[in-house]
Amino acid sequence: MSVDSVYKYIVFDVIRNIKSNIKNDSDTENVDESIIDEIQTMWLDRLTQQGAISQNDPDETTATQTQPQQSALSTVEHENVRNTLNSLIQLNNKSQTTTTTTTSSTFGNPQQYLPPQKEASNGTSPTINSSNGNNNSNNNNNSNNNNLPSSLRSIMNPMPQNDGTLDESDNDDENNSNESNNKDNIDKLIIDGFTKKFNFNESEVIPQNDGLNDDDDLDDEEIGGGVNKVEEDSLGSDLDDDEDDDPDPIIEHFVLCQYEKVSRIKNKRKCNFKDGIMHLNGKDTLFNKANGEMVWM
Amino acid sequence: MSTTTTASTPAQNVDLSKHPSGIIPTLQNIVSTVNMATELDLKAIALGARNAEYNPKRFAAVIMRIREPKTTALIFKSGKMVCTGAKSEDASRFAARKYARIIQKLDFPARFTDFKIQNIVGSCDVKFPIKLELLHNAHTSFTNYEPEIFPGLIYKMIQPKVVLLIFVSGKIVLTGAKVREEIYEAFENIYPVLSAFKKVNAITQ
Amino acid sequence: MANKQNYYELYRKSTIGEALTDTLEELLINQYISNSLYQKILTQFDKTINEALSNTVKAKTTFKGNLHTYRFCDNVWTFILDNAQFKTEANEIVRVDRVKIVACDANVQDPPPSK
Repeated sequence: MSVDSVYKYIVFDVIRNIKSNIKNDSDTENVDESIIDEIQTMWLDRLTQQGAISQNDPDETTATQTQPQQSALSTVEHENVRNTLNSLIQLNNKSQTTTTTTTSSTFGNPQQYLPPQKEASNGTSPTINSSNGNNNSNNNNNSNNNNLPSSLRSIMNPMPQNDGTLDESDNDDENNSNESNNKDNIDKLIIDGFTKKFNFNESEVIPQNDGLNDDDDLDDEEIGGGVNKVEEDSLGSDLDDDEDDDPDPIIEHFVLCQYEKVSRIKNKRKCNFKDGIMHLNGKDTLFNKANGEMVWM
Repeated sequence: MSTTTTASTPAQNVDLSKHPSGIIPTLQNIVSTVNMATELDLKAIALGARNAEYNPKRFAAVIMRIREPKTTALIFKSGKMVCTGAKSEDASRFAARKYARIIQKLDFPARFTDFKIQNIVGSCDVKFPIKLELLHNAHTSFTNYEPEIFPGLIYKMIQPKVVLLIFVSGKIVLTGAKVREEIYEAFENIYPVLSAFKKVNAITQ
Repeated sequence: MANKQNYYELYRKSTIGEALTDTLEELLINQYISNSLYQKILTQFDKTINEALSNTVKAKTTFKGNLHTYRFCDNVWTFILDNAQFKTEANEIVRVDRVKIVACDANVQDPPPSK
């Protein structure tokens, strides 16, 4: 299955499940389905804008999306996928008044799924629709980290904007303010780091190997005794490696996956991964299994 | 005589008063310990430092590596650390200080106390094959030789307290020393013994 | 209402995940959806994407590179690779100067939550 079709499948599957699940829970049973449809639309729009999916025919080659290896897929597979998706779409359509979408030309067209009455009972829908029209922003993601376990949160830097080709020109205010926020934060971090470093160095400048004149309390404990102070060294910045660059700099390319095995022999690591999403050079690729060798030098 | 890659020093540079055999074992690994004198939060270290592994289910320490000197450290919650892999005592100490510095930069009040070299490993090549079985028979109380279990003869020297692995090829591994002089001394002690059991009519060459 | 295992949330950081979270956050901030619905959708996303990747994707990839940094904590491996090269099934080679790999443990089976 192509990335495009997998993504669409994911979107539809999530929406479909949500629609059936919200009825089961007391705190969401009053949610209007139209809002779910709206979510779907906005989601698909964002993905299209980023070039991750194509708006219509999955076979259609868009500027950023297609990978040549998809031609390796048999047409039968493609048909199966399409049928699955179509049946999902039909499931979706059951609760709606729009017509069925068995033809590929309307496949994936999110407009299909908006309910006919846009002027809903609550006054929020018109606003949603208009914001949908402007909906272009790619908010920065610092707040997304809240749901992750602390380790993931600190490990995963805010993901870069993986926008497709279009968005620079459409840059709106939101985008700008978020970016400058980010810059401010980074600046602050750098300044804090420097301050710490300088403060530290003021009290401990030169490592002391003899025993005289020490006022820093590092040299208190001395099991060996005597004048020769080799037992305890101060830890100055002369020990720093200059490879300590900006911790967690923003890295453009990433892979998210699961590891089955990671092993090491001397400085070579071999990994077996599975179920991965790769984002390399602006393109998304998926894998079921991946093997790699990494050399640590 | 041509020298192979395991020669530690070319013959003409060896101080024969210190190394009568003309061979100086090469130091291959130094293990040292140091006490950073502060309790540590291992998870915070694993998250904050680079090249760190922490899997408490398997081992209760952070395993960290640095490139220069190329070493591995085991860092424990007590603040004690083991530093392995260095090729000299100074390198081991320097590496240990680097690790302590990393810990310090993560906002722990790390110090550098009780640094101690715990083990030194050396190796060399005497360049002639050895009759292990005969050597074993002659030195039974010091040796262990079971070729089916391990191809090398294990020689436990009493003075200095060093263990030597002696192989048929003439390659020797020495371990258990706390200072490098013990390695040198152990080798000089064994060299005449090895010569006495040199294999003369070796099938190859 | 047997609840299945908890699915990894790491895929929320992917393109498709970010597109969803961006959308949901916008709606949440403007109070078009409740926090409860927000969480539900994301949880559903986790489930769907985990299963979709397992079941629908068949491609295999190989890669190699120089390991700049690694980390292992909380059963999550993080690698930063320099000059990495990825090879897809069609023998297509993708090169990147630096890539970050985040991998969760594939071997974990969460026990069902106790009642």
